[in-house]
Amino acid sequence: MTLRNPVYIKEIRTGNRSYRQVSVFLIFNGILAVVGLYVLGKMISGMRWNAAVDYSMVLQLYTILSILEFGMLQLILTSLAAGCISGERERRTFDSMMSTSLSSMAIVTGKMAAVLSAVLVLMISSLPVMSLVFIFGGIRYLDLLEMFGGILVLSFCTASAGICFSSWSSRSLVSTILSYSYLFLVTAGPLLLSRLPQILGVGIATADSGEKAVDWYHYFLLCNPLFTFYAIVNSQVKGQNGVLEFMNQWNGYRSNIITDNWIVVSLVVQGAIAVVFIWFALQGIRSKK
Amino acid sequence: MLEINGLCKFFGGECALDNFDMEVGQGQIFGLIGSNGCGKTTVIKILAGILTPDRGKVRIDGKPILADLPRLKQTVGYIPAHFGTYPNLKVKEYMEFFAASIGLYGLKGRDRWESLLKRVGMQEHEDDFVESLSRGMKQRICLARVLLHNPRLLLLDEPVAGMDPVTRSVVKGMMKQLKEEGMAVVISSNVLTEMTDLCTHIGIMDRGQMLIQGEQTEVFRRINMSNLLHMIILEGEDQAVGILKKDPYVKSISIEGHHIVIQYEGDEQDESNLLSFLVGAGIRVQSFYREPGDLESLFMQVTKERSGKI
Repeated sequence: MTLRNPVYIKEIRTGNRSYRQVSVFLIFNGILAVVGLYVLGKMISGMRWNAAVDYSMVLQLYTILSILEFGMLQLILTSLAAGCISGERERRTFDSMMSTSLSSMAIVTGKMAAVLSAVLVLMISSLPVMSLVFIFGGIRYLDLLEMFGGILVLSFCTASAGICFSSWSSRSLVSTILSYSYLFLVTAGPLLLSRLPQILGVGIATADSGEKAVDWYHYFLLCNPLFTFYAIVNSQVKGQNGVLEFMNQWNGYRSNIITDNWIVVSLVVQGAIAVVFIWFALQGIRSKK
Repeated sequence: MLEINGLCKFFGGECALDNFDMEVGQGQIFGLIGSNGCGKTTVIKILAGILTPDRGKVRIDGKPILADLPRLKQTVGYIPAHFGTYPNLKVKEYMEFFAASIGLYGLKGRDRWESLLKRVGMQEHEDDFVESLSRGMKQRICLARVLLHNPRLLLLDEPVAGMDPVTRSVVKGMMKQLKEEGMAVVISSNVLTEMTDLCTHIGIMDRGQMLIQGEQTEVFRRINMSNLLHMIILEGEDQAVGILKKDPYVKSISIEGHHIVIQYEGDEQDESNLLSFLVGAGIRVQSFYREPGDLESLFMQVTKERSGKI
């Protein structure tokens, strides 16, 4: 259905012909390659002395590359999504588009699919660098696929906020600032909140491990895409999501159904937030100023 | 075909349309004339379903249309003042996009947009990028794309601004064809000279209100009533002045040799009676005519009258 969406086809055509896309590809893969090769170089230099492969280094390489890729993709897609509808207003093409029979849902779907396609293409373009993790083994193809799937789902959630701000704004600069502010707030905010008692020196744990129920403010981390992705990668490399481990650095929380199923719950929470953003985006398009 | 009654639109506290009325019949080319910021684009955008009015009714074929957006979009074709073209799309891709957006995919869509590109003389440019086209060419592809769904009402916002001679002739030719096909066209502009040739009907608006509207010749006739009446008298000027002074419709007289200019408020019948009376009185009248008006002087006159009232 998306392949027949005229907005999607138009976005793909116009996007692929822009110099911005080429430079994004170059910078994204360049940074990934430099970091990947640096970590690999350090691994190999260690092997020179003991002739043994340190598989924890392979997992570390995978974690670093995955989180770096995820972080860069979130920044890139925020910029793409934030300008997708306000950009039409700035180019004065919005009125022409709105005078057609295209529904606001078709416009949002087309724009969202175009942003996710750009993310997908960037992920595929990163495969040569990401395949560094296969040199010594330890990571399966399925792990990579799973990680890419996680990125795509979380990208949908982040992009929905960008599209929402874009649909209400007539200037891309405004929607870009709002989208990055939201991304910063939703990423840094819950992390800061979960560390605030320690920072303020009021929540130094006295309880032993497994004695205390998880404090309410830690659940804000469910909205954090970076933390969810961290949990996905952790569950791949360590066999557990690492959520409790993160929370228990200064506390002695016991696990519960949410901490045990953190990835699923956080994807549901962020999916629900994305649906709300998309609903507002539709209202933004329908609102006739 | 199109009836607008009591349309009001406010932007913030500012009134853009104030009880605006307009009527356009099938096969009419209606020129909506007004200075910048008088509300022309607001009217056009409301008709295109892009803006919603705060009050008022819009009917097409007697049925309210604003609540039925899908029907409105099927009925109306709209070209904004800035065209809305995508520079890094090819002409054919641009047409494909708009064809697909009204549900015309594949060969069906291609047949339709190819025939329309041919109609506007742009078939040779289908592989060109839109950014490489001149302003006039962009206007032509916009005209082609807006006809894709065969609308019954065409809305052109400021189409004549910066139009090159070829485009002007293509647009004029197409307007005539569309008129013959029964399509109603509303053109907003402040380039008055172009509108005289293009439109069958005109409406003059100012500060959100329609001041005068109707068939172009009829509007001219109504306005011309207040234009000066010129006469050249070969013999009997004094006698003529005496007669004119007694006529209740004569408001002022100026004489320059044989040339008498009067401000006359009578209609065409009164003019004819006056001429018969002068001739009957034995005055040799060589020439007797009402000063012709053009759209520009008409516009100035109508808006000036309104300013005077305000």
